[in-house]
Amino acid sequence: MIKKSNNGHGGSIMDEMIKPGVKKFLEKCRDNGFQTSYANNIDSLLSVLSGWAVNWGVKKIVLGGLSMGLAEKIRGELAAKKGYEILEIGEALEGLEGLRTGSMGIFRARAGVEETGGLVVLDDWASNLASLIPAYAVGLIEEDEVLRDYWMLAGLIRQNRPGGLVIISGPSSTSDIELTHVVGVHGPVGAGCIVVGFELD
Amino acid sequence: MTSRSRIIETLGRKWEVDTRWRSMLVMSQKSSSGMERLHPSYLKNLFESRQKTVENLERLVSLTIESITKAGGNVYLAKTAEDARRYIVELAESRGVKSVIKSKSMTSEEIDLNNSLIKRGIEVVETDLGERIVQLAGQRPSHIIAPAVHMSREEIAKLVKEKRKGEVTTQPEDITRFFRRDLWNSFQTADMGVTGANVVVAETGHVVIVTNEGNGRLVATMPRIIVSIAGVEKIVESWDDAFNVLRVLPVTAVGRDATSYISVIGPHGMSRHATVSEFHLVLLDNGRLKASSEPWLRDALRCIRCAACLDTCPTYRILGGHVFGDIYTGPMGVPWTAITKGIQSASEIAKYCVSCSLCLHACPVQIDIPLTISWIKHSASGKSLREKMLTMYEAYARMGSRLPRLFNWLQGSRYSRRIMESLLGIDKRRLMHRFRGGSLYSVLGEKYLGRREADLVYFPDTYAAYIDWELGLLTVRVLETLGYNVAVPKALSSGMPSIQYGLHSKARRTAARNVELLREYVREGSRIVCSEPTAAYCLREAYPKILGTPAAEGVAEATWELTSFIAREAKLSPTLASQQTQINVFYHYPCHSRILSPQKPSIELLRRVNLNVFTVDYGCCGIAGTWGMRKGVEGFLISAEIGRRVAEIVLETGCMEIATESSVCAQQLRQFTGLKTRHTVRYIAESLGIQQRDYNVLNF
Ligand code: SF4
Ligand code: SF4
Repeated sequence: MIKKSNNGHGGSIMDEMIKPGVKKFLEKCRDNGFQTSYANNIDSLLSVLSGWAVNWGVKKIVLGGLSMGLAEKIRGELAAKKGYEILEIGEALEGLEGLRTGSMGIFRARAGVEETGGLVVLDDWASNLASLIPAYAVGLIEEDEVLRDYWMLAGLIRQNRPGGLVIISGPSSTSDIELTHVVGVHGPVGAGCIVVGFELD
Repeated sequence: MTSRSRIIETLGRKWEVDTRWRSMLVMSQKSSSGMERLHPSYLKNLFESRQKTVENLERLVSLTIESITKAGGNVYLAKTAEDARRYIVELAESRGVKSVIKSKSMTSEEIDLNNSLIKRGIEVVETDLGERIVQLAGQRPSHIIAPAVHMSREEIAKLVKEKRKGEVTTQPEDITRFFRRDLWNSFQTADMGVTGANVVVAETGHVVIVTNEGNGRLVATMPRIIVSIAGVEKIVESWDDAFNVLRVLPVTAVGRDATSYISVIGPHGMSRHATVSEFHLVLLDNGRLKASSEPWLRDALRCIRCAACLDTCPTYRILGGHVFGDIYTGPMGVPWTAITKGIQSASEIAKYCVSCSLCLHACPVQIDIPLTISWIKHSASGKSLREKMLTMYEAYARMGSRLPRLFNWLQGSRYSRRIMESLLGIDKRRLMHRFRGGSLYSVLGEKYLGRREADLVYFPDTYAAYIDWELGLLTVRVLETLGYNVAVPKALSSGMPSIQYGLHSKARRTAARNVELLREYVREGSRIVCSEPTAAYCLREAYPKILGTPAAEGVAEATWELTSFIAREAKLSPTLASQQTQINVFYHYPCHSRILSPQKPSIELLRRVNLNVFTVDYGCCGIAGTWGMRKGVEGFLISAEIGRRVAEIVLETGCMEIATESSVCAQQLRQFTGLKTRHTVRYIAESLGIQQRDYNVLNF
């Protein structure tokens, strides 16, 4: 089941409102170990982000690849109202060390792959770092950016010829010691994916 | 150290063997259930993409170089390992590199990059957790995707304490957290990152890396100079081909639809030092281009390094990659050692292959590793006399059928077993089948031998022809009761020992004789039925590849394994069930049946005759034909290690009887479980009311 997100004003987004492809995508994401949510407006998105920040016990929030408008709204809610320290990943480049614990990265994914439940970071070093360095990482995409399968992604790559690209399908993990599954090796210990039903940029 | 002492030393580390056995069991179960889940078109697409690479390797190398050069990137085609090493070391020195971080790369192991860099005073830090552990232990990876699978948590915790002065408990979570902290400094300060590659896309020049830990991403992001090393066979033509690989690789490797990260590096890299970064792709030939025109080796170039073949391999499970392996380990390690180091080096490890064919069954790109290994054994110099003797198993069985009392006595006497051991190389501890006396051909007579028009031709192989003809007779009776006309022409045995030990000329002669005999029947519309899975495997899989003739193809197409034939083609009466007493039977699925009868038809049949059937998929029982009869360390000893572990699993089910179709599996299971073991056709015969003679507890 997909977690319904509370929009912060007492209303909840019902499953029926989510397109079947997006629903399947989020289910796949959950299978991969992501926290997932759907937000149909900015308040709802901010509420989910703030809830996860509390759950994960983070102190700092690092933004990567978000539009200025969205970054402002996040600052307004999470810094001004909730008191989190918020940084752009560019500002934190020299102090990446400080992001390894107690921080949450929020990054802009450019696509999602329904077939396998992965978020695609395309040609964007800021999103790449924000999804990789912090202890927790949350990717945001618009619902129309969920691609059905790898074939569609192949088309996107051919069209854009990106310099670099990452498909993220869950938190970092290993089974290298006696096949015991451990989450959180070199990348984030926890990962989240939020699909939004409005324009992010 | 001789290979014999290496084996003894490995077997002495019982904990390690047990852990590997259990881990491989889990990994192969994940891989095979993943394979079953996959849409068949995914495997077909993958095969076609990989085959396209093999058939167009030179063109795709040129296309990749062109794409990268056009985009202004750096690409270097290294002819040899030495060439690749030199390029990377010179690059590092010319850029003043002091430290290098690496993500997992078997290709860098192949060129022995670390030592070359270290010799020049450059620090090298492996960042994949398993690789880092084996690096600190001063070892090489024992498994291509789980490098430290041979080490216990206690050993690893001790290593952390000794080599990194870290205080950790033995909990994997704690150890992992330690390495997360410990390696972070290296990520931050390294000047150069070296990655491997899972795929290189020729149409755009991108390098694709698949990881779970995130170290691959950090290695490709944090330093200012990034180098990726890829064997040229990793190239695929297009992004569609790339995704054909990426769809299947995590499924057969770890049973998941996706790994945590797929990183794609463009011709300019993805370093965070956007303005001062450099990216270099080193494409390594080192024998691959030559192999692409070598009929027996070229298929191995399709390999996607998923390790499914290692996980399922019975001898790898016991010996691990430090014995059964060179740089590349386990089954795929044999052809890959041949490609990169030559046939003679490959033959050093080829001897650990017992030709069970499980790796072929597990391989998502259908590389016929067992037959390729057989060819490697054939091509390498030096065959032991013992192996030659073992290929004469049929002659031994024929003599036994003529002189049953003498042979049964010889097999039962401790004194003569010692002589047999030194003369024939058959281990004195191996429990042998007893000879009934006479052969199936003499019992059936001319009516069956000379019959020209028949629905079915029964191919009995050694056991049913010469050791216990009653099994052959029952098979004929069952088929007749089901309404078929059966002919039993006098064929040679299937010749599996010759294939197994790489005596290809002999195997070819045997195959040609049998095909010559059977083709006449096939031409008249008969189908061929084998009660021994290995015989069916030879006729269906091995003969066409060994002979490469249309006649061999024709015989292969007409060949069935007995239980598969009965389950799919024959009309078994539904009233059968009530005639059988309901008992609990464990079903052992012979290795060679998996290729020909992938749906386990025997289980369906045994249930139809009213038995409670239990089964566990542990893979090979460990005898592998005459291999598990061989004297000593490289034979009976390893076979017994597998047999004992299999027996534990079987006995845990509480069944009191075992059903199977392979006569040698029966030998092994009986020896290590002590349970009565019977051919599936005996249960069917019983249900059909066909009278059986005295069942000999030493036979099956
Ligand atoms: S045929 Fe069997 S023994 Fe030989 S390499 Fe393959 S799995 Fe291992
Ligand atoms: S040979 Fe086949 S099973 Fe083995 S690693 Fe290669 S692709 Fe996987």
